[in-house]
Amino acid sequence: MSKANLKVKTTPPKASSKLTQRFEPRIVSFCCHYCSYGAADLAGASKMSYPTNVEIIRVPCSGRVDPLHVLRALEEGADGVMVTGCLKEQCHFVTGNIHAEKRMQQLMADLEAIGLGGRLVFELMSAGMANKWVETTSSFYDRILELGPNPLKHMKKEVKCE
Amino acid sequence: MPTEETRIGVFVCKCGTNIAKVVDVPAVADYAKNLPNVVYSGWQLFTCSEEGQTIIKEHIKKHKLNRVIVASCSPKLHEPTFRRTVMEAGINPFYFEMANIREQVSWAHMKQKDEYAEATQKAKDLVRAAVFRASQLESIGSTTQTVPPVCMIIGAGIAGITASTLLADNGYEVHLVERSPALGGKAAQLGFVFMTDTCGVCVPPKHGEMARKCLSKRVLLNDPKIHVYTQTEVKQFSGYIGNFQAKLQTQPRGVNINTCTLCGKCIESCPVEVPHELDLGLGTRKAIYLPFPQAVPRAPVIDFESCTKCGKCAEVCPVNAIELNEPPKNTDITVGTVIVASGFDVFKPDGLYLYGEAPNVLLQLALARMMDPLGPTNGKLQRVSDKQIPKHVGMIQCVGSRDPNYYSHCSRVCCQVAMKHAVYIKEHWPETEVTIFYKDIRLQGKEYERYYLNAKKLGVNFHRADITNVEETTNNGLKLAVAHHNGSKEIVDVDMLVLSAAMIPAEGAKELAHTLNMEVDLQGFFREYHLKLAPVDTATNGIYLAGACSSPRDIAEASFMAAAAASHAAIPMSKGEVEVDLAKSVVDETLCIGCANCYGVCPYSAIQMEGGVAKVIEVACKGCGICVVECPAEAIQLRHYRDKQIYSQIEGLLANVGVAKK
Ligand SMILES: Cc1cc2nc3c(=O)[nH]c(=O)nc-3n(C[C@H](O)[C@H](O)[C@H](O)COP(=O)(O)OP(=O)(O)OC[C@H]3O[C@@H](n4cnc5c(N)ncnc54)[C@H](O)[C@@H]3O)c2cc1C
Ligand code: SF4
Ligand code: SF4
Repeated sequence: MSKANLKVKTTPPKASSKLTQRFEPRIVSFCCHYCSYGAADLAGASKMSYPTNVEIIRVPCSGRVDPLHVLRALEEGADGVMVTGCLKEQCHFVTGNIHAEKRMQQLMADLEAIGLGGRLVFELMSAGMANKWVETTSSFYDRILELGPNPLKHMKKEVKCE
Repeated sequence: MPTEETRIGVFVCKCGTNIAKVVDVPAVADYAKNLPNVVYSGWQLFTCSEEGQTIIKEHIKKHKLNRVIVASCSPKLHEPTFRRTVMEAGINPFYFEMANIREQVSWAHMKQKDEYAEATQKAKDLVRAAVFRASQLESIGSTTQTVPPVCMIIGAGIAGITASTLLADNGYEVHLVERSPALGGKAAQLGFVFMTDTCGVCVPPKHGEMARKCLSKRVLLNDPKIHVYTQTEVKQFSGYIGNFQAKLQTQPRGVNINTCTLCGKCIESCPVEVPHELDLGLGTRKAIYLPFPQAVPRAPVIDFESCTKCGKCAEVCPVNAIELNEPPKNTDITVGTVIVASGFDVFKPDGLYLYGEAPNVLLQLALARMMDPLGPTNGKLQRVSDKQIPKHVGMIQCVGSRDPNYYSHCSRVCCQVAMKHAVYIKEHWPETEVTIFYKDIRLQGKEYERYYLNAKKLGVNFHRADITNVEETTNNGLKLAVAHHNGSKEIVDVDMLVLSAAMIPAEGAKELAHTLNMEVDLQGFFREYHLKLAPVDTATNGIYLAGACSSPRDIAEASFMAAAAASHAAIPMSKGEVEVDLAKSVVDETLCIGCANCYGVCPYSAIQMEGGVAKVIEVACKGCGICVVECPAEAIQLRHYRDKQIYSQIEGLLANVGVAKK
């Protein structure tokens, strides 16, 4: 990406960054277009609240999520990563969620081995299951609060963009 | 090709106050100005409005934008709208990106005022992620797929038949696939139906016609464009709009419908007698039988499960129409579009209210059979145990509906069915008392209220109550323990109990959903693409829904829906082609090592191995990206969701995390 257009921010930075104040986890959730993204939308449309720090990356299918995407999110400083898809036998792409489950389970074991255990969650829900979205995000948020900040965060050299 | 400079425009939407009440929209727009490659950023009150879209187009011209980001509602709602907007301004639709700051920000975080600042921060994060991703987007073209004017309709209930005739009248060819031996679906079982109190599948004369006519007959006899398959199911299904391939399997009927004259001799001669499933145990039929008197096709059918192949029917048939050893038949068809109209079934409340145990406890559907003049009792109301006219009929509503233990949905027609039957009983057997036990009376259809007022006038008793226990008495009567919602309790004796059982997904709906790759909702009904904006479309382009297969509906509503589905299916067929975008997988042949991993996982057989490398059939690929993750050589990528595009979005989202710069 060209940095040429990166203009200097004019407003002064806040007195103390959030990180030093209190640990506020950053959670990235990969959501499939047809189901879990819809569940998140419905949670919003039904004015149900869940932690603000859960931010979504939309993919066509949970089967598109590569373990490398999850690792990249952790590398970039996410404290936790969610991969969510359609219910079993209801995947819009027939088998996408089955592949995703296999891949994510392997990845969870690998993360455990390198000391990042618990920072990935894999859940299935239909587009109507706003409740499940709220429950999953809330309980994952609590878990990450307990686990504390992602240790990789401190290896990240710079704030690329405030 | 010289790479052009990336020039991003960001349009942040207030959505009236929907977003602006929570998110500081001008601050988000200001923030975006400083993001890489952003040359314009501003906010609007309603970006999706005509005016909002015009403003986007003006800014595209003025700032020579080549990427556009709208931060507003869910892309599920307006991504198509804005893709069109940018296209009209000369930008490839795949250079458009959306940040969802309504459903996922303002609405989700509006409860607590102290979260508003965080919500604004989240909106900034999402916009930043979109900006990073936008820089990596690529222009994607499209191809056209021809759509032949041929539609397959699954299910020949009122919805399937209506859609068939409408399409045939408009000149399209229809393959109507019905699982049972006769057309008409549930409506043909009902005898008379509200709101017209006429036969379920019979249509009134049109201008210039003399008499009413049978909808099923019309389909079968008068329309050379409609190919009817009874006793047939879709066994295999593949393809895409314009080129769906279905393998139909037809079970043997045992009777040649073209030669049969329906003299009925075979039926008389058959020695095997079994309970008739259509009459729910109220009557019997032979192994060779006509499903119901008006059944279309006009020929008996052999039930080969109970048939002993004694050959008596073949002996007596004067026209040699009996074919006892007919094998199942397979037919392959290719169609441009599909309408699913496979209807519903009635919940069997086994174990509830002595259903299945006490003879005088029955379903509304069985009562409907009873009151059909051509039904098993010739239209007479009678107790199953002793054929006496009941003195007191009780009806329990919401059996299995609106019940967290069974189905949570309201079946929508049962209240009205109870009114219809109660009124009919009171009009024909005024001595018989009728009591309806309900949770709520919900009569929303046109003309429904008339039945309710009539029922009240005729002295039908209404009790808002739960039935906590049912006991059978010595004369097969039923003793009901009634807990009124006002707190009082009483015992009520009835001598016939009718259950208004839930309308639920048709038997085999799950398998059909699987075969056609359709989504189902929590109850198991087929899911429409969008309840508000695309209620007859499914997630698969070219497959549409009609009737009670997507939700309980009455006949009128099933017909509206059939008309809507027919008109939707006609759009691509009348154009003769659809445009298919190429946001599909693509193989870099120089990197592919020919391992065929991708080939192995593609659920749509959209990958072929040719000359040792993988090749994607673009019209068959649905763009899931399952294959991409499987590739060890990074040779296959999904356009619009390439690795680099996903990475840039991740990077953008988390770009403000790290060791703070001094
Ligand atoms: C007791 C009762 C009384 C009612 N009374 C009235 C009334 O008076 N007035 C009114 O307006 N509505 C009434 N209704 C509602 C009415 O029955 C429905 O609105 C109507 O039948 C819906 O039509 P449909 O074509 O969608 O479904 P259906 O009538 O269920 O037809 C679906 C057809 O698809 C076939 N099918 C199913 N699965 C497959 C498959 N996999 N492959 C091929 N074919 C398949 C079935 O065999 C059937 O023929 C009543 C309902 C009940 C339960
Ligand atoms: S993205 Fe890959 S796996 Fe999915 S349909 Fe296309 S070719 Fe098949
Ligand atoms: S998985 Fe990759 S390398 Fe293997 S055949 Fe498919 S595109 Fe080629």
